[in-house]
Amino acid sequence: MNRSFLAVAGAVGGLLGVLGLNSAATKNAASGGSIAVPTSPRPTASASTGSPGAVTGTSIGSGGASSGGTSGGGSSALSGSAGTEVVTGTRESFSYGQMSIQVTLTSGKVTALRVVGMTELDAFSTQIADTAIPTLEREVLAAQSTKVHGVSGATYTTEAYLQSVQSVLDKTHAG
Amino acid sequence: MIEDAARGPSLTRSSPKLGASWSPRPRPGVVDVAVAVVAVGLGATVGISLTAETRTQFDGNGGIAIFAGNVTGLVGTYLALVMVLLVSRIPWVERVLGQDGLLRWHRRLAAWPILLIAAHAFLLTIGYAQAARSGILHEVGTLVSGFAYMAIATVAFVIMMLIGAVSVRAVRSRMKRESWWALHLFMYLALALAFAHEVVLGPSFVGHPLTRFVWSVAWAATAGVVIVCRFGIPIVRSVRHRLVVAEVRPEASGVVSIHLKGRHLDRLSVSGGQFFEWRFLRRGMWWQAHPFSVSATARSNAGSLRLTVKNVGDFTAALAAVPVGTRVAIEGPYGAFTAHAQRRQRVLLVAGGIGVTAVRGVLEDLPAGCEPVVVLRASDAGSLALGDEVAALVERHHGTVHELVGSREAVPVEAIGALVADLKERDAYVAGPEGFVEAVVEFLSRAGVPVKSIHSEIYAL
Repeated sequence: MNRSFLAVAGAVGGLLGVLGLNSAATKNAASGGSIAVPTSPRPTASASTGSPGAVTGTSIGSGGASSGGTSGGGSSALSGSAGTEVVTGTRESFSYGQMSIQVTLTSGKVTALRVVGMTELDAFSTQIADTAIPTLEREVLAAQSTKVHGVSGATYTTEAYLQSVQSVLDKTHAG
Repeated sequence: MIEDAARGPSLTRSSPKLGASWSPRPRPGVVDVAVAVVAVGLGATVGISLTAETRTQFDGNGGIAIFAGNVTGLVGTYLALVMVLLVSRIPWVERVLGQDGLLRWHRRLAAWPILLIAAHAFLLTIGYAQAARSGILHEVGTLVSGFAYMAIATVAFVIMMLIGAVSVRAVRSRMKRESWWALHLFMYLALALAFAHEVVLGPSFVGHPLTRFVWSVAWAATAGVVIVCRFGIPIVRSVRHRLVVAEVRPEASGVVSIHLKGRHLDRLSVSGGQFFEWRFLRRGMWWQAHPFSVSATARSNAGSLRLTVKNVGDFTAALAAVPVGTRVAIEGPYGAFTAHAQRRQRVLLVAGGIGVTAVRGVLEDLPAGCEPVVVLRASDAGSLALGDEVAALVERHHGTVHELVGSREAVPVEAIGALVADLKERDAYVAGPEGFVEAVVEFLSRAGVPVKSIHSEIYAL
C-alpha cells in the first residue's frame, strides 16, 4: 500500500516534471531564445493538399508559390546567360510533409540546391533530410537535370524533391 | 501490493548471529527507492512521448494515430525495460521480494509491453498511411524499407509478437516448460534490435540529445545489470566455490539428497530456506539450471551443501543417478523465505511434500524462543522426507511436529487449524506445490493471520 503510493506519486512527479521542463523550454524559445529551427516559414502540415504520390507537380496553394524576397528579385533581373539567379521551386507534398527546393543557377547551370520551407509531420523527415536529400542534391548537380536515379526507399521524398527542382528548370530554361 | 520479506521493527534475537555465511538482511528501503525510481521513469517516459510533437503535427493527416503510436511505443518499451529489470536478480531487491515475488510481477506486467508495442506498430502504420494517402499494405512496405533501422526493428517486432502468441495461456500450457522458457529469452534479442529505431527515429529523441542520452544510458545500465547479475555473479561464485557432487543419498520414496563439497563454503552467504539454480555440468544436463532449495547449509552439514530433490520428471530422475565428482555451477542464492522474514516471536511452519526442504532450512536458522509448530503434509507416509531431521530441530526449539498423511480430501488444509491453538499470534512459513501453498495461505488469512506474517515459497513442478 505504501509502495503503491510511492509508485503513483513517482509516476505523477515524473510526468509533471517533464511537462514543466517542456513548457519552460517552450517559453524560453518564444521569448527570443533562438533554438535552431532549420527552415524558414513553417506552414501547417494540414495545408498539404496534393497527393503525395502525384508526380504531376501541382503547385500547392498560394503558400507554396510565395517564395519570399530572396528568389523573386533575383530571378527576374538576372535571367541572362551570365550571372547568378536564385529561384525557389514549387512546394511539394510528400508522405510526411511538404518541402520546396531553392535552386541557384549560375550562367544557366545549376550550382547549388537548398531545401527551404520543409514542414514535417514528425521526426521521420529529419531522417530523410539527413540521408536522401544530400544524395539527391549530388545527383541533380551532376546530371544538371531531374533525370536522375533518385534514392530508393525514399520514393516520395525523391519525387517531391525532383518535382520542385523541375518547376524551377521549367521556368528558367524552357520559359 | 508487493509482499515484504521483512519490514517494520526487527525482532531482537539472541541467535543466529548474522555472520558472513548467512545471506545479508533484506533492506525493504531499497525496494521503496527502486519502485520510486521506476515510477518516476514511467512518468517521465509518458511525459516525453506526450510533448514530442507539436500541435500542428497533431492536426495533420493521420496525426492522431501517429501521436498515439509514438506514445504506446515508448511506454511499451519502457515497460519492457522494467520487465527485464524484474528478472535481472539484483541481489538487494531479490533479497526483499524473493525470486517468486519478482517473477509474479514479471508475469502480471507481461501482457502490457506486448500489447502496447503491437498497438504502436499498428497505429503508426495507419497514421502514416493516412498521411501519405496510401494503402496500409503499401505503407508497411514504405515504413519497413524506407527508414533507417526499421528492417531490424521489424524483425524485433515479429519476434515479440511470436513470443506474445506462445505466451497466451492456451498455447503455453501445451508446450514444455523448458522450450517456452528458451524461446522467450529471444525477447532480449528483440529489445536490442529495436533499440536503434527508437533513438534514431523516435520523435521524443530526434533533436532532443538529452532524452536520447538518458534513454540510451538507461538501456545500457539495464544491460549491464543483466550481465553482472545473471552471468557475472553466478560465474564468479561457481568458479570460486567449485562445487562437486560428493554423495547422492536416498531419503524417501522418489526423494534423493545430493551433498556437494566445495571451496570456501563458509564464505558462501546462504540462509536456510533459500535456493540455488543448480547446473550439473554433465553431458545432456549442463544446459539447464533447475531451482532446488538448500536442504542443509554447510553450517549444519559437516561443511558440505545439500539439496534434496523429488523425482518429478526426466531431469530429476537423471539427478538421482548423477555420478560423484560431477561439477556443479550455481546461480543464487535466491529467495526471501528465510528466518530474516520473521516478524513475530512464535512461528508455524507448513510443508507440502518436498516443501519440507525449505521449511527444514528455515527451522535451522530460527532464533531460540520461536516455539515452532511444524506441519508436514504428504500424500503417503513413504514420501515424507527429512522427517527425522525436522523432528530433531523442533525438539531443540521445544516445538511440536505434526504429520498429515493422506489424500487432499481426507486431510484438508483446514486440519491445520485444529493443531495450532495460537494460530493468529504466529508467523507462518508455507512451502510446497502451488495449489497447496495457495490453499494454506488462503486458509491462514481467513483464520486471521496478517498477510505480512505469512511467508510462502512455491515449488513449481
